[in-house]
Amino acid sequence: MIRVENLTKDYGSRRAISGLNFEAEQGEVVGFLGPNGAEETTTIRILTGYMPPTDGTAIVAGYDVVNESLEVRRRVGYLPETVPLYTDMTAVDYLQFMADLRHIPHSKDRAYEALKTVGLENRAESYIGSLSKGMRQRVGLAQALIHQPEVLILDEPTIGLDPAQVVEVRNVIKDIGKQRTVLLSTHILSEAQQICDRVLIINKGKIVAEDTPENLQSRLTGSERVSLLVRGEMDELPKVLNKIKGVQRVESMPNGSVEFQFAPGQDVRPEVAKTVIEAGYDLLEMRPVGMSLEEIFLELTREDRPVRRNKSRGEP
Amino acid sequence: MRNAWVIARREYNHYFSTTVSYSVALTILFVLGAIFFLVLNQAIQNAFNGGSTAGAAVAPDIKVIAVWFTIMSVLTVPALTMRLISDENRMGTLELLLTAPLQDWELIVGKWLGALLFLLTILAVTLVYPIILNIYETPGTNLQWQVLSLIILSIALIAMFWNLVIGERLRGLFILFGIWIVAIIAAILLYKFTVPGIDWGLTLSIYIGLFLVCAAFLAIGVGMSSLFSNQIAAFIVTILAFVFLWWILGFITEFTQGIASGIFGYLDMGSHFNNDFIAGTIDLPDLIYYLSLTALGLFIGTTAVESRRWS
Repeated sequence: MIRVENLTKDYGSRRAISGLNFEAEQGEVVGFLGPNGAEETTTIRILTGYMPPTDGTAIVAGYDVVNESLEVRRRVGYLPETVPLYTDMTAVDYLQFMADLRHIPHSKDRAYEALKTVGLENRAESYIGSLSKGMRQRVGLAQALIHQPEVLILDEPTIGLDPAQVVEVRNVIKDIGKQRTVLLSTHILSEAQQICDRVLIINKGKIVAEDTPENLQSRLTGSERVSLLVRGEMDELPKVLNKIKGVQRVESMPNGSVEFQFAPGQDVRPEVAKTVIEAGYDLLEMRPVGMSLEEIFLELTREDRPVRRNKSRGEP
Repeated sequence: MRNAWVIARREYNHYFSTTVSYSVALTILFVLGAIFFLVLNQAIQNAFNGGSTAGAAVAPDIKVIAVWFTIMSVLTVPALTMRLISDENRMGTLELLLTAPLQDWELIVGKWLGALLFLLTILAVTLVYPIILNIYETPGTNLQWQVLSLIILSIALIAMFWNLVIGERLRGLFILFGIWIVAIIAAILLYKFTVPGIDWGLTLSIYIGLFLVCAAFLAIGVGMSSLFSNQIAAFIVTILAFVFLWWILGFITEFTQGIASGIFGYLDMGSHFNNDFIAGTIDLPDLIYYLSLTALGLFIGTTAVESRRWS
């Protein structure tokens, strides 16, 4: 469980995070999404007890990150962005060392178990320096999992992995997220879409949107948009469409199709199909065009855009 | 404290996988060996000639070795301590340690302890010198016991290094502790039941002094290492600090008078060792001096690590 209230962090005179608010419950995978420099790493470092905030409170696993830092650190598994590893140690020695620091009994057995979770049991005795980047990433993940933490915080966990490993690691994270709280930061939007129950989009230390990936899409567009491809007299088509009740914002697209939208709940597609065919066109294609998370992301993090949201969160 | 021990063990292990630590050990032991040979050679020559140019022939003692051990420490300890914290910072593993459930002071004390154990490993080898000297200075008496003790020590040292090099570090550490405990008890017993030979009380005092000097040097080294992200910078500043504390303060003392001389004299790290421990006297001010210097180094380290969190 993570609860962040009004979190603020200044680096000297520069305000990195201002008034951040969010929550993550048990059994939830929450994704932190933002462009470079959005200060996700700063936020994560505060939550893991690496650095204190300038203002505001953060409760992780039931403890305050400033006053009960050690209790928080006992209950959090953390994989930093840089994947800190001792390259002169073997994978199992490294994990045993981390387990010993956490006072886990039978640390060596636990180290092997953790390596098994990330599929590296056959490289246990290899020096970390000789492992590939993807393997190192997985050793780092094993380190974060070794004490079966209540809260798992991962800073860009799938960077540097090959596609097969990405799927594996995502499955591991999803699995853990069923019983525990997982907070992960990522720049990969499809990843957020796939494994997160909820996405927080942050930019310049502020949350600009927070919802499930699906809701974010429909909320941002506020309507459903459809692409229509027909054969026939194209110049006349917008006029034909505009006559239909409920059809809005008809636009001719450069690829020859026409896009229009309608308010959710008033599905005009059967009417459009009928009308188009009656007007003598050959209907080739009609499909919905959702806004991809990428577009939402760009839209939300654009500087001059007024933020459109259901609830007001983290705004000064 | 348990966390500090976990850190210390890893750090001790690390020393056996880097070339820097092997070259430090080699340099110290090679120089000490050469000096010991020269001292013995000189003493034998003097005895043969019926006296040195300075007067009657004197029996050599462990002092020269001790003095050279401190000189070698000034020059090589910075190489042992330079990477302790700065390298963690460079590799990003400091973030790992600072988000693990351990206190900042446990990290610093653990690093210091690991380095101290490594230096004690090197120092354990020098225990052969007093035994050899003892054999030379009491020809005939109890020779079989002396040779036996030399053999036992050699076997213990070989067993220790064997275990350390093949990776059984815990067993190696165990033997190291054994060697030191036996050596201290033996020195005390020999001091009590004095037989002709070298002065075992003096030897014990010298080794206690060396231990305190090592502890203080390493603590300052850890403190300096935590101030820098770059090992080389840490090395240079540490060696400058050692040269200042060990030699330059001594020069300043000579050129000042009155209270100033007294203050500089007390701050002079070398004088406490070279005037007292090496003469066989252990005074409370000397103990307090080295222990507070150690505490200061560890305090600097802890504060520096803590301040990283706030930057």
